[in-house]
Amino acid sequence: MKVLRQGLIYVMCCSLLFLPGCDFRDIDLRLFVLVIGVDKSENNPDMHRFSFKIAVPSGDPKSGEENSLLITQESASVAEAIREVKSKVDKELDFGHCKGIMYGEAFARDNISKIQDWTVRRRDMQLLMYPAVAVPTAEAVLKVQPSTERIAGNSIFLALSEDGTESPFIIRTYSFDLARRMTEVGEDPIMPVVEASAEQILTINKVALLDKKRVKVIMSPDETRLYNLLYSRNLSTNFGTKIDGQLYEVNTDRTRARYNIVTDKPGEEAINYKIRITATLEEKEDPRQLEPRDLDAIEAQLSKEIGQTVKKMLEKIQKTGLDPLGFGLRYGGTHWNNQTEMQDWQAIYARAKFNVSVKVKIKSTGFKR
Amino acid sequence: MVRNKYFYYLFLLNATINLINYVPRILITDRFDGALMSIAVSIPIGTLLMFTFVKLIQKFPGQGLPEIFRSVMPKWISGVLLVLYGFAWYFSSVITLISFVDITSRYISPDVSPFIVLSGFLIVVALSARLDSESILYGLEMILYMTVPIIAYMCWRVFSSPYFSWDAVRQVITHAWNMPNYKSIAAATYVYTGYINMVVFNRIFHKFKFRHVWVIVVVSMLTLLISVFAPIGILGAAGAGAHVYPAFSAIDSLRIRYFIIERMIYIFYVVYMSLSLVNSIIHWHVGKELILGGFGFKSDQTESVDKKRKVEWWVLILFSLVVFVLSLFINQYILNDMAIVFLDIRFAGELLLIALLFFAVWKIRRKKA
Repeated sequence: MKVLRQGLIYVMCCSLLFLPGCDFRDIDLRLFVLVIGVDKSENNPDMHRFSFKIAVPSGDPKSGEENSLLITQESASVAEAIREVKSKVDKELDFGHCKGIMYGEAFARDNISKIQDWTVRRRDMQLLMYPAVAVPTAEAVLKVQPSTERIAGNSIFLALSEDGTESPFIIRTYSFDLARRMTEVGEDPIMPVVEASAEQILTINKVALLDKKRVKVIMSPDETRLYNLLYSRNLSTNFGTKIDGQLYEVNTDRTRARYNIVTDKPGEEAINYKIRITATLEEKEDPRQLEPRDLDAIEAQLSKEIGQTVKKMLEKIQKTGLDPLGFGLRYGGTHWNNQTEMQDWQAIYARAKFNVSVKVKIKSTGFKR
Repeated sequence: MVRNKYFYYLFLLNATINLINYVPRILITDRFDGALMSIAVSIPIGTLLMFTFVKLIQKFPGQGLPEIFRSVMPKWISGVLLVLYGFAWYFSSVITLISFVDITSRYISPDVSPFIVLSGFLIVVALSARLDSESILYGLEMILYMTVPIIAYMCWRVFSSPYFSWDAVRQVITHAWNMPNYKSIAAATYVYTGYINMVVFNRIFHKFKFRHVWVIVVVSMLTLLISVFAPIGILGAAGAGAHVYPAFSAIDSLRIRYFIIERMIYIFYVVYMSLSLVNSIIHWHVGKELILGGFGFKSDQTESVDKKRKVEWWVLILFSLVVFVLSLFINQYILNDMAIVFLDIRFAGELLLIALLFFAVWKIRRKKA
């Protein structure tokens, strides 16, 4: 025991020697890169234009004095770009808080796989980054400084994560999810589209569908909302309909979408969607008080309309040949002929029919009857 | 003298450590080529091996492997066997330690020299391995009480995550009917191998009884399934194979909201650092006892105990030096190959050990008759 105690004391003393490690830099000697943007270079087709949004650490987030710096660098690779940016700043660049990667639209329509691989491979990059397609360019998006921003650069994460705003038009995805979908057979990647629409406003209301490495289609906001209805659970959104020229809007509380793939008869394969929505009435034009059978009529009308629009949206996706909802993976996971199932699926997906059954249930009409 | 429950702790330690280390990587590499069938095969094999071993060691109450071998074999054969077993058991901790140093510099502090990290680990392990067997078991108990609830919470978080893809899991399950292979079986049975520590700890067990075999079966099955399916669900059926540490990447994809730290990986790292260190301490302790036993040191006479305590230092210094030298020239590919070779040899060595114990029982019976 005595030997052990002496040993431990010795170790503790020695460990003091390690404390001022030469490689470690204090927090005031670091600059935190928050978002990386990637664009195509205008002059040189082999080069990319990288933008780094860097936060300058300050004391108090409540004061609202946030400082951030945007550095752009043209380079052939991102590793090279970082080394070049390091010679433009006075402090050590730290990627531990880098939580966003913006692919400029032109770049994303070309091939994102090289940069995407870097974000997963590099050790200090999180797998929890928010990837997005930036319109018109990543640099333009990073230049936007919303005045609501309290901590430098974090408005974009708040919008893309579920922490801040909750909008039915924003698709939530992380870089590990993007990486998974880029390699998975039978499930294709998606990314939200961030648009610099005004000097202080970023609009995020579209989803980009990718094949394994490039953006193929950007859906409209309405289609994005319907896609989100199928993609995530308990989406809070509104749906509107008109009965006899009078407008009714409902707000959804709980939503749930499930599907199965029916392949009983070859040639007549179908993907059957079942969507359940519980909602409350939020807006109506008609000043008359509602009767229970009016509610039934609204429910029936909404169910029919949502069903039709979802079906139209699914058929649009089907025509592009992409599979952002993972039907192919579900087919593979329920069929045991592993050698041939994916070839079968290619043929089936092209001709499959969609049946969408929606059940809207209006639980309450709000404070008024 | 310690009670029965410590035997289950030894098993549980080895099982939990296998959620992260090289075992999931080997199984995931073979996920389309018979990993699931290997798991199915290894559950009866592992349980049977454990059961047989326990039945045999119960015939030698209060004795460790050195005492057993010495009583039934010529001195030099038992010496060689014990030294070989000692080094094999020590070797497993070498892989654990080096891979943990690698994990530390990969995920936690890329800036700190790996040798400082390794020195820290080695000092803790070498000093603690000298403690007597009972203290080590009590320490193990405490660490397990602290870490197992956190591990359970993290498993729950993985499987309840909205980004967990059950379709990917189903896709892998449809590959279950492939032939098992030796490499995967050797990896999967390693979950059970905690019982081997009894070759030394049996000295301090009082009237050791082995009950509730079903607990062992259930826990090991859960461990194996979680270790394979948690990374596959998060990183994808195809994507999981691309990661060096699938379990760490899967945990890095989890986010805890409303907590001091945002990334789950820091908690996970601390948990697994303590488990790895305890695991290494136990392996060093067992390895050291076997090697010293092989050279004929006995632990029951007072004058030889003093001498043994002195020689012990040299063994531990040798152990530390070997780890240090190996870590100098090992890269991640050699490390992975080393793990595979170790697991394959260990499985054969386990079978041999049980055969030797059968021989010992038979010999003693004949002596008595």
